[in-house]
Amino acid sequence: MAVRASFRPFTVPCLVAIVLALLPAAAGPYTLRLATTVFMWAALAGSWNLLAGYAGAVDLGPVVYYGIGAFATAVLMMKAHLPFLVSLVLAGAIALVIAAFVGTPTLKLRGAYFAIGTLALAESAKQLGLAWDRLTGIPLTGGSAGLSLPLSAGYLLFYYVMLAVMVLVTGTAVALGRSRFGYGLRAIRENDRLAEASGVDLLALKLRVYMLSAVFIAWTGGTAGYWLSYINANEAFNAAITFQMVVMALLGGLGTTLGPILGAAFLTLVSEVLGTRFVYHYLIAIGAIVVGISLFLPGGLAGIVRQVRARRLAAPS
Amino acid sequence: MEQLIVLGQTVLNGVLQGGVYAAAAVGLSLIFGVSGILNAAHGELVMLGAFATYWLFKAYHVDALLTLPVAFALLFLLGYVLQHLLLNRTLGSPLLISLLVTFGISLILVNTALRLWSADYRMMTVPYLDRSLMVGPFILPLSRLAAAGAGVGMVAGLCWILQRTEVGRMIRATAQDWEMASLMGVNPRNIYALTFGLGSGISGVAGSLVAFYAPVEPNMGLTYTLFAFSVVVLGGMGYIPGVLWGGVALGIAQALTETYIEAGLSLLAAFFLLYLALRFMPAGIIGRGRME
Amino acid sequence: MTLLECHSVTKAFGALVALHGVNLRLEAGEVLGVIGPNGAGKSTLFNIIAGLEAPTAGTVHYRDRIVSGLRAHEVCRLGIAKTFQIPQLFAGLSVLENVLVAGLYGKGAGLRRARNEAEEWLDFVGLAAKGAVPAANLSVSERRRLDLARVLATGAGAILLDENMAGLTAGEMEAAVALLQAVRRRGVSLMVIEHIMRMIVGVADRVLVLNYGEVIAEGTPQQVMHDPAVIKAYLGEAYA
Repeated sequence: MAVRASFRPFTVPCLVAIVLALLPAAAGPYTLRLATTVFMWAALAGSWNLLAGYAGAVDLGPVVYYGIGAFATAVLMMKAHLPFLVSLVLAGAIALVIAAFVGTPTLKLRGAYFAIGTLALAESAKQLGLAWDRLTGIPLTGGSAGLSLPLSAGYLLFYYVMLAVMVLVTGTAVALGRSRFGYGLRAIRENDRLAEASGVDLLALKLRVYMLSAVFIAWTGGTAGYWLSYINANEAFNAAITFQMVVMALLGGLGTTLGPILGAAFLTLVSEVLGTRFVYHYLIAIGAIVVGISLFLPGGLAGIVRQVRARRLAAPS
Repeated sequence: MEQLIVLGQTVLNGVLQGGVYAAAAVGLSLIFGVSGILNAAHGELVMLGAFATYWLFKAYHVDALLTLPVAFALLFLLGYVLQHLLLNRTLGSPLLISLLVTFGISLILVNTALRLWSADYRMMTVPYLDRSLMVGPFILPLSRLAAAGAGVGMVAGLCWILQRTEVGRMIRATAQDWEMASLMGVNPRNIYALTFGLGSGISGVAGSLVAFYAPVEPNMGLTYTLFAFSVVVLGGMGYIPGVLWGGVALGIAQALTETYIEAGLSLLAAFFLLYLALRFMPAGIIGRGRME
Repeated sequence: MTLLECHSVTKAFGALVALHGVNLRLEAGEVLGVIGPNGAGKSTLFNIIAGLEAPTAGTVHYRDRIVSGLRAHEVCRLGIAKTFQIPQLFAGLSVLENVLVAGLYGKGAGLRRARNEAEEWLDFVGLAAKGAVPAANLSVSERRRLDLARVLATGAGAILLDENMAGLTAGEMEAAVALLQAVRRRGVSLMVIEHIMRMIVGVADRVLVLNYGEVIAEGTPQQVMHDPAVIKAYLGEAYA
């Protein structure tokens, strides 16, 4: 009985994951590519959500690890001639180590200072990425020209890898829901000084989440780079990626498991519909959405889902 | 001797740049100090001011210096409306909410600008400022000198308004204790709108000054937001006069990087300086800043 | 045995000296009252003992181990916990979860045990019925009791109560004194800041009097109340 109860929150997500794993048998390349994009953003938004939604720390520099993942994977594949998946896993490990180094001093910042500090770091990383080859003489990033990767075989690989990362991120969020670690994080989010006075080691818990997110984000970046066959520092470290993650997590509902997926799906579809002709309109709409959600609908789409579900439960049968 | 001249010129460049940075940052500090709002769209206000001056100068042939009050008026209006309609609803909510709302506003502003004017870089040259003064061995480009002077002048003007006028007193009272101020007949919401307008106007004019000597493009906002944060953190968040040495510190740090390390790294230097300041000097160089 | 000691604890905020060479000891199993006029430095002293602030000079010892200079969460895990003058809580969590966090991290218990103990503590302070309620919905006196349950759940051996019983009616005060006696019977040592003499007399074994950051008297409640220095501090020269 006790074993079943602890697995219950996982049953629906597992079923969905199985369905998605079987999707390629039924759907065509366009749908699958769209799905891959949704998985990628869901993984990114979900990773951001771990630190921001559960621990309450607004990180505005997660794109750093996206870029690190992209470049580490590319360099390992092309210089060390390692296969893609091996490079990807190693890139995750590199991101983990860097996150430990960067996170330890940075997570000591609180509130808005943490947000600004991480943004400053991310922009520094972008500048460093652009200048690295010139500065150090070690050809790593290709400067503003970037790096070209070998063309990949097909789209199925990326579909499954992105799906896997999304599943891992979502699984982590689900596991946080009722776990000891999750309570600690939420205590930090609600009142970090009280949490500390009650025995919670703020830095240690936040660092754990920060490092975990870094790995997931790096895996996403590494896969995306190979998928596009091209990366450069301007795009791989671009603040716009952070902003997309933030908006999707917000729109979907901060601190919920479903939120990032809903937000990613919704916005990916909207941008798909608007196409490349209306990029600016799309972004203006996003800005309006952010304003609207923050002012009027802080629970996001997941909040609406919850309200509908609650109303249905409360209604007389 | 040669080395000293190079150093001197570098520091001078930094100081001139610092004057503009001070003006570009003071709006952020003012708004945060009075209403507790961290304006993520700050850089976009600078950008819009820059474009206002550019278009008035290029398309309508308005004298460059005369575009300044127009830019101020336009941005003041925008800021006032933004606070009144949107940001006043965030009062009392945690900092994150106002950060997010202003972030949304910044997205709207940047992409509207991109839609209207495309991402092209645009540069204007003011004919009567297009030469340099020679002071001893040092070169002082007139456009930069004028910009720095106007920038510092605006910061001084703001200090004067805050200290010596009725409106300034009301703003300071609201900043210290809005409940008390409202009991004395001040309407905090109007003051917040006025303050946001004032901060926006000054930021806009700072952008106009940038347009005198540097290219403008819609994406320049983020950089100026980060510059502004650097200046404000170094000078002390919420402490108005601090932007003067915060700006100069940033300007000199960048100038030194450009001269002695590499020109392309000045942004890196600025952003890293911001990070270091947050980590080791969160209350500013002289410790007058406050964050909570 | 001496559970907690302060040696020459000093706290200065720039030119303002909030505490000056404060020495005190808390014996195991005793209740030590801390009184003094407003601004005497009582809350600052508690913040320093609990690790929320660092002393400018001097040391705090718990079970013969120096704890001053440790981070707040470490001090809590070692066994010192403090309530807040204006009660703090995790607003978005339920009442039970508020106490649960303390048990999980302050005491280091596993999830199931911490949950059971949290329920026990809520029952102990009389909030058992409100376990599932969002903590933000509690009244002020309920928040104070929640704060008490929280510090109890950390498994602390020394609990510092910062005006935990303020603003109570006479009847509520009886119940509060009884509650503190019950806490004491469980083997927890208490330091209590209070302004209400009835509380102190009813509960404290010894009393420490602070004024302008210095200890001006120490002894039983009776001794302290008749000490001329104490009377002068509270009521002024004329009454000494």
